[in-house]
Amino acid sequence: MQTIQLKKFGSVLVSRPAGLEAFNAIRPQLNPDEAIQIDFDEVLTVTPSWLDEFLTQLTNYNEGKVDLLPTNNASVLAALPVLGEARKDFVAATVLRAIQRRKDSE
Amino acid sequence: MPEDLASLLTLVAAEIGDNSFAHNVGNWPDVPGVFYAYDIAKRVIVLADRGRGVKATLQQVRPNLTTDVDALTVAFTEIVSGRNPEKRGNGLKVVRNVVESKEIGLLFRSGIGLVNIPTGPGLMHIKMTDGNIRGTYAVILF
Repeated sequence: MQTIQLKKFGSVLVSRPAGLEAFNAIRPQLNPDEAIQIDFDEVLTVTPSWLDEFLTQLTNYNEGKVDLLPTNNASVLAALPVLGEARKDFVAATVLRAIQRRKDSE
Repeated sequence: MPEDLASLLTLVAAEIGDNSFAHNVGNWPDVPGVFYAYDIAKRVIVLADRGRGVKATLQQVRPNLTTDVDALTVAFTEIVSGRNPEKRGNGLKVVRNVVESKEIGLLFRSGIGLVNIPTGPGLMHIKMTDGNIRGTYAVILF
């Protein structure tokens, strides 16, 4: 299991181009055959645009083997429901799993 | 300021400001860029651009949109983007959800359309106004 700590990209993660750039920067360190988990610790804000772009690239790269670690980050919790309903693809599946895990733990 | 509020305010301001660039790059009618100002003591953030505005942007994918009010309604309620076929268009829906449910207010104008969401939790209202805004103009209250 590989873990991506988003704090490596900054504490305020904004815009699709920046999300794409973050993926391109970390891709050489990733094994597409291994699952990836995303850690939101010590990040203040992730905008839906950045998160959508980063997850789209990442889930396409390893065919959906991406999970979001539990978080109380308010911006992430606000973005997830819309990303989960936006379309039916790897991103939506990843997001819906995270939402379901949060519901199960409550 | 509580961290949750800071996180969400940053989301709202960043998403609105980023839209100004994302939907006008290569198409600025005259002055490129975004006006951005804030006053923490007055609890207000203002963003504005002189871009094409919401209606012209969305007419690229919805040519039948004829009014600013209709365009703003689509922008804040439907997952659609003026940058079709890219899979995007989530941002303003998240902004609306956040502002409607938290102690954050939003006044958003484009053309002669106005979106108003009260600072206390409350629902969005969209209406026509006097005066035309070239591009977009947003006031975020908290």
